[in-house]
Amino acid sequence: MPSLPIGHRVRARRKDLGITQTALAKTLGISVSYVNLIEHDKRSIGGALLNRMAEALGIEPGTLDGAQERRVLDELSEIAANAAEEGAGPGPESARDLLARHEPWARVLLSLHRASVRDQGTISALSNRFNQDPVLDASVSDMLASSTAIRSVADILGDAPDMEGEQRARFDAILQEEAARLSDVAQTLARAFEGGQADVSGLSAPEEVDDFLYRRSNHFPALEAVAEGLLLGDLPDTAALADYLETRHGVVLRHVPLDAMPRASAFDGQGRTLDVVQGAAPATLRFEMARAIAVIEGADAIRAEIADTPELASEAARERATRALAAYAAAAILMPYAPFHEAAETMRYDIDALAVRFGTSAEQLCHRFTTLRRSGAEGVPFAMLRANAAGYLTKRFPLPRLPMPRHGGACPLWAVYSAMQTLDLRVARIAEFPNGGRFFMLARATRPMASAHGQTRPTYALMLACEIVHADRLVYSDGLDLSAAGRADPVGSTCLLCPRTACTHRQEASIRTKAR
Amino acid sequence: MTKHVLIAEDERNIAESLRFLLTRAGHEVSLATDGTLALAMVRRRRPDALVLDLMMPGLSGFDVLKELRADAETRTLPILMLTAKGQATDRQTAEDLGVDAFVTKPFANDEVIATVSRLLDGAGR
Repeated sequence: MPSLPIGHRVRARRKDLGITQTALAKTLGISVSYVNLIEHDKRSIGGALLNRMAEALGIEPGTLDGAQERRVLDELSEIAANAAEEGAGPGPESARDLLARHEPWARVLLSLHRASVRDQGTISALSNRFNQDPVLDASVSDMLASSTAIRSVADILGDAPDMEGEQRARFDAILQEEAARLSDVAQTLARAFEGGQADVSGLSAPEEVDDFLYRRSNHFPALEAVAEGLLLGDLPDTAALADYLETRHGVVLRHVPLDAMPRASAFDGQGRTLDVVQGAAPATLRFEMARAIAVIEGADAIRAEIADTPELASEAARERATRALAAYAAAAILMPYAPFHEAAETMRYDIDALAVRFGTSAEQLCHRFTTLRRSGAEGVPFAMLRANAAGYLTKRFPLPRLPMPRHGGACPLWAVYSAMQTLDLRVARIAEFPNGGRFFMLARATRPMASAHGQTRPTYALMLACEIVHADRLVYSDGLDLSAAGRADPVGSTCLLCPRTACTHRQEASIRTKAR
Repeated sequence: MTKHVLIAEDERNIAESLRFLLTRAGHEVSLATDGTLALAMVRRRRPDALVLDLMMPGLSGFDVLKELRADAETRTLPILMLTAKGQATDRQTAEDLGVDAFVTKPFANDEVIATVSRLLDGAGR
């Protein structure tokens, strides 16, 4: 083994293990000042001392080696983390093993990974284009208009074969005109898809679940029934939830220090414990308790929903959907449909007032808004999305006429991006899309989790959007001119798909202008 | 008695076909080629029924529907909405806003005629 600077890794590992320099020195049989010199890369180590050091720190000697390997290791860890997110795969520790024992294989894995990342970018662009291409959208509208006219006129002529004179000539002309238009549309479509033969069928697990929720309008009567059947009342309070968990299911709530937990909460159904991070916001605590109840009481209903959905092709997607439905049921427990729907309509979707009434966070509430699709008691149909500080969309629920990009960011003029600039200040805007569609967009920034000093606290921007015709049901539209004559921001979906060539906010050229 | 039907449709050829069909069915027919014009024509002379396209430039079918339902004069005007998209939420939105009937493009002539007749007979509300 070559002797390379390893001090920072010795130090980090020692601190991870909570060992003092003195204790380590004693284990290794060297002086404290020597350990200090090693940790500051003032002394190189190798041979027996390296092996003893590795043993004392509980890691492979090879992993204490090399700066260049470090980069490889980081990348391997990233692959492992991605795989873990999908529900399987090796832990980050095994990346060290792999690199130490099978370096050539590790490098093959890396080059395959890089190729895959590159190809995913291409696929994303193509699938974005396929799902939301304005050319496709306009073509479909034209095709429908033409086929409607042709069908109707052909039927008229079929019913009246002896029609003559000016009327007959007029209808013949319409048929010819619409036939020519259909042929133009077909050619436009053929051009738009020229060369675009990439297979974009392989959706990721989050995309499969997004599609599943969208197809079901994000409303699940069976889960609503489970929540209503618990008889926890219209406004279950924190003590009632804890009591329900403990007496009905023997689940004990434990408050765990942040540094002892990787996530905000962990529910162990077998061990009958629910760990929630100490100092968690009351809304978080309540939601985690409701989620645990949902996992137990809603298990059959959730399994049935998933089993009924063959479109959830991968195991990872089914697991993700299971988690999404448990969160759905939790929200239904905390915000029972009938009283919540009534309060939302009466209080005109006032997020802060409703959050106080139901003891939830703004984000939980906005999520619940999108599920109010019960037949006969529908709420405002909302789209929702969440963006992180880098502008990426981390949650999305679209509306039929408000498509949202599956990948990357949306139009920078959407209200969601303005909200990031000021915490807790609401941004309400009317947005007009290139096809004339108008939407009311409401956004605010939020910091969902209380955490310890020194931890980065994530900031998210949440946005709700609805068709402009529903906006007067929202308290936030008061004072805005909602009429067609009112002012609206000219926005698009994404730069790539937006025809507004003169927009000063443009980040990249549109596919439409590139193609022509 | 002859009934007056207003058609609000920006697609000229579809409008012409609808006009022919409804005229042949014995109705008096007027045409509006966009939402703003449709509103103005309804206010000038209230028709007995309105055939309203959803996707129009300027004021959409939703906008027109909402304005008409907010006005006491036209709150009960029978309205048939034509949509190019059979999307459940579009339908839901139209129903929320108080539409009486719904036909999806490309439609069958008989369906449009029968629905308009039903609305005119007062069976729609």
